[in-house]
Amino acid sequence: MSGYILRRLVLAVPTLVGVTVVVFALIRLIPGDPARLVLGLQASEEEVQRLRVQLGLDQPLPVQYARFLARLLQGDLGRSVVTGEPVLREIGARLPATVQLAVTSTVVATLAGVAAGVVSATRQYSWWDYAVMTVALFGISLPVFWLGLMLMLLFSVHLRWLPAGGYGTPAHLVLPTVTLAAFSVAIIARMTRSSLLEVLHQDYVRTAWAKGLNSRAVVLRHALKNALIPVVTVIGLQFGGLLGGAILTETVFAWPGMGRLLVGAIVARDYPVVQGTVLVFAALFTLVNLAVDVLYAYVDPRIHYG
Amino acid sequence: MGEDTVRIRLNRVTPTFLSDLSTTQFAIVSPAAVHRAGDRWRSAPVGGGTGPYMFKEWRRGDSILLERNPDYWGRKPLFDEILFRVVPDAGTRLTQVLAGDVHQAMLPPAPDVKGLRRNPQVKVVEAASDRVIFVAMNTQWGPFKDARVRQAMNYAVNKKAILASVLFDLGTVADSPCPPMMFGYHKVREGGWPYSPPRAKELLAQAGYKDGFEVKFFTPTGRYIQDFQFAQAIAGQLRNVGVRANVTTMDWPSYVAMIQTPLERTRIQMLVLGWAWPVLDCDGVLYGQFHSSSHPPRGLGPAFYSNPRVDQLLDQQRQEANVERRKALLKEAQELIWNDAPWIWLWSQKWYVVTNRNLEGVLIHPIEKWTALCEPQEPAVGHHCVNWR
Repeated sequence: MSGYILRRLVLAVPTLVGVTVVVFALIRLIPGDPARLVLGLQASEEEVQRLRVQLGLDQPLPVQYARFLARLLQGDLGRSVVTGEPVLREIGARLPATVQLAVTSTVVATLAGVAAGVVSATRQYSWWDYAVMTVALFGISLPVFWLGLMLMLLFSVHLRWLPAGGYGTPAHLVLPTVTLAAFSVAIIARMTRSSLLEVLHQDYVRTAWAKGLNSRAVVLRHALKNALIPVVTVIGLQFGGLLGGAILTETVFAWPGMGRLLVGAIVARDYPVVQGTVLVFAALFTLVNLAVDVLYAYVDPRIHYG
Repeated sequence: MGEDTVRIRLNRVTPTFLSDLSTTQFAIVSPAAVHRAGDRWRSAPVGGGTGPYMFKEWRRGDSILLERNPDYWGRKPLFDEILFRVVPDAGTRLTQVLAGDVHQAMLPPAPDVKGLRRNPQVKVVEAASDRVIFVAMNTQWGPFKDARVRQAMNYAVNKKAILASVLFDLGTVADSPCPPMMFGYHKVREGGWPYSPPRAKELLAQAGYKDGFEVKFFTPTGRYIQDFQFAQAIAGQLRNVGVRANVTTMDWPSYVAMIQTPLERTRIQMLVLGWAWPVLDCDGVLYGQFHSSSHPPRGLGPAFYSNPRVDQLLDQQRQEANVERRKALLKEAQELIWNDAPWIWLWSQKWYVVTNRNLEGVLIHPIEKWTALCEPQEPAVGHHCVNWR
């Protein structure tokens, strides 16, 4: 197993290098000039040119890329054009908020989604099933900025139970978690339902019933465990995606996460921050994918990694 | 010259110099403190300022916390601490005021302002700013080479109606190329350029565009109050006189890059832009937009306007120390530019905040900044001591 993990980690390196090339090229292909954007419309062309030279933007692209890569090898992602701070420090300041939100909303979505999926699948075509799947449909369809504002109107303005956006206390975490989870719950519930329905029709489940096991044991121990592989995949993808930041939710709730850092950097054409953020995101995503693959082996003992 | 007097020798006459010194870049900071902080001086508390509040903590992407400066030389600041929160969404900012989480929010959604003005829970504080909003016409492109066409464009747009119905009265109709609170401002036309579609059609016909023409019309989205929305309203009104303006929008960096393109390669035919100067002197807008040295890429005057007499006047006023003579030069320049009509003269936009009804003494400055006075009875001491929490 450890050999497998090591191999996967080594294989991730070319992927990440590929990511750096693509991001480096893409952000420079779209129009926009970081120096002009930092200094503003009223700055003179001379001042702007001076900043371009200072930032190394006057050099040819291959030279810029080589410099970026050389610094990256020393663990240096460069400095933000806007704040002048090291990119790693910028990311370090934002990552905790993102991880926090990604973890809570994934946990909430997993618990609620799997429970809803089990309820639905075991009572297929019942009122329960329709009700759960209809709610799930809403969860997928509601735009998060709308849901977020509505939740704030209800719980912050009218009931005054929870703060309207912001970061810091557990109370601040509730509404963004619910908003983000609403989407993932729906996907996880639907995936659990369809996967579980398939398994429930297998012979070994009939055998389990025939043995006289109670429904709890049949569904949770025998059926659900075997139905989990696609569910784990979906949860992994959702979680990995959330680590990159949930831009709309972060914006609506003024949550200081990675999504806003990245979008803010793109809008300011803050090249070093865009490159650094995407690279860190890609690395995290790769790690989560690896963790999911490793998890398969625990969920399903038939899967072996040699 | 003494403990707290300096003498600055200029190598040429610069009538705006004293005003220039009032901008934030010239605020005095302690060199020792800057040295101590090294490369972190922009982001770490260094204790190098002289204001009523001191920088305490910066939580990235979330907030900046200030605390009272106990040694402040003026009258004591009112609040112990002031928390500035970063809230990118306008709707959320408003919600936070309504929920009582914060005391003040800048720029709530413009369409909500009308209702907020009547809401007893909150106060809307609004005031004119020096940001002029305009549609620049590329005076070196096709039909716009003819001043009559540009004048027709001005006659075709009903500024007052758009201000009332699309901007919720968050602006003041322009009656000069320079906004009213600036030094040298001269009201060229009371009430702004008149709205008269028949006159517009007449001028277009005279210029040989009886059946109008097609033009690319660029606008940013979300940069100025209701920009994309009012651009569509303008396009609609232009259609009434036969000018078919196709509205296109793009993100701000691309927009700036487009403006910076030199004349030979520019895509600009007409576009929405706002211009504000941190010093209340007409030189900022007139020289920066209408002197021929400000054509892109050297400057950011997207109308590519050129008038030798205007250039001469603008150069002269930069050398003129006599206040009255300088005013006269600026006046003549404003009249010439107005009638040449390189822009559709729209309005100067307001700046506004919404506050908790108990918060008093909030003032809007004309340069898009605000002050919550520490000592309401003595405005001069006030600094940016706004409030949240």
